[in-house]
Amino acid sequence: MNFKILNLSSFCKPSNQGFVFFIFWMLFIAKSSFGGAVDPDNLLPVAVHNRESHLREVSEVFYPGYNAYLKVESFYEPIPGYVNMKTPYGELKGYPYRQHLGIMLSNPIEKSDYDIGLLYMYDRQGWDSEDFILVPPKHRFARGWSIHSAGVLLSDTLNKASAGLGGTWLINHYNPVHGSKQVDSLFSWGRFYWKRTDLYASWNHHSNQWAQVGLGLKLQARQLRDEPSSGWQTFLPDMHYVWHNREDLQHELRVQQNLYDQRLYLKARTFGDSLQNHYGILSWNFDQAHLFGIDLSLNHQKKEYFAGFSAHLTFFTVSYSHPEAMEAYLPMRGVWFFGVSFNLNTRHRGKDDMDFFGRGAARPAELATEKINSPKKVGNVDDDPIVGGEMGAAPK
Amino acid sequence: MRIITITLVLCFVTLFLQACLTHYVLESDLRIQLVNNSEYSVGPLFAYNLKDPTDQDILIPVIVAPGQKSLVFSSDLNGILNLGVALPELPCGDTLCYREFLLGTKDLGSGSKVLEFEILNGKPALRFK
Repeated sequence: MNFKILNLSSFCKPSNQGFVFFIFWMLFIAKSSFGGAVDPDNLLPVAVHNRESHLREVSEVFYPGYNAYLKVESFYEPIPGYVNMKTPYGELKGYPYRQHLGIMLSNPIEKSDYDIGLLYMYDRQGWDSEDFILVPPKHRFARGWSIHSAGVLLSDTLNKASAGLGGTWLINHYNPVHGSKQVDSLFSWGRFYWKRTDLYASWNHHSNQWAQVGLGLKLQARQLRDEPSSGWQTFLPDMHYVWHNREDLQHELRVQQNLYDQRLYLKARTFGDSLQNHYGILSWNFDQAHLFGIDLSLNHQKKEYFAGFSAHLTFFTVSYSHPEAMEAYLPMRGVWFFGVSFNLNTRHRGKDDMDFFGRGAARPAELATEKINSPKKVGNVDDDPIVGGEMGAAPK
Repeated sequence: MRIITITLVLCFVTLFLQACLTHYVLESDLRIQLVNNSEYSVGPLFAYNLKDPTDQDILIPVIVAPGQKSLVFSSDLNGILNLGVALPELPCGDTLCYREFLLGTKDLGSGSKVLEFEILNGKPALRFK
């Protein structure tokens, strides 16, 4: 018999490199294509986190002077059966999903230094048997909920102060037979911002008690907030403390520290209570507006350490065991997350110009704009060789 | 280098775009048929709760005679299920009695599946045809 030996050297020649890379990529995906099964009750803290993160996000993207914010995110696992769902009868194949939309618009009030703004944030999340774009299939064992936040914001651009009022509505979409203990709730919240201090609180109307109180000290100087763009003030930390009215979690502290050029950051979060969940992220942003970035993370959970990774490529996000994705999307380690994700914040600069930047950035994006100056002296059109001269003359 | 970059971008785009469209090409429900290769009647076939085996979700709600096969039944349960089967006419002593056997977990996946029931070494077993 003749055995034909696969000639690898010809297969790997430069013109085939892309294909080879593709094969390796697919093998890589296939090898790690079994993420495991998620217990639906483990999804509940995610709902709480995302409701709280709406408020925390407002304090990042709405500052006196910022005038628009758009955020669109959609996360799915690309392979069916990658993350199964634990049910009493076994592990069902399906997809965990998260769709997120955030819109903020703010406009100056005429003849005053005040801006008035509207805010809407939406989260739809859970697990279902099929992936979808708009309408979830709502399987018998599906879990899901949506969170709507809406509010009115008023800011004083002269004194760098702002205040906001709004409400958050958490709605469950699941079959009550297989459902969990999460209840539909309405929250109202209020927030106040002055210079570098941020204070907010939300009230739970379902249980008639405080849901959380947050205090942020955004000490880091940011050029976008008319603060110094360099110097020691840019190396001050951003700190965020939240008190939660929950049994398993009461104190939460987030710190963000600029390490280099407001591009390399160290982020850390710690819970003071029984969850024993701490993490640190080293985040490098390729551009100064934080539209491209790579994260390396170390997570300490249940007395175990594990590392994670994430890449944010303006429109796409890939992450693996990344704590921020785990707390906002799926609380599972050793799982890949893929998603379409885009966020953009804008601010007026002067009368006609506008600054573009990502969420939480300190400086605007350097856009390749070119100012076209009109020539001071306009000559006779007939002297111009192109328009009025011989070259531009119509053939007779 | 350019080829690698383009391929990388294409891979990403493929991965991201397929993620909300796979339900057009992949099946998410299970259509299942039971073939009885044993000498006893079999049925129904059910998925059971590990903590409480009396909590059952029936996949094939009929009794299949020896050597026969059931109709195809559709179920919205798919994936890795804890399967059990009932033998309604098992000889015990002088009479026939109804007994249920828990056969452990089996990855049924999704789509059309044919399961064969047989008795191997005196133990009931299910296998894919």
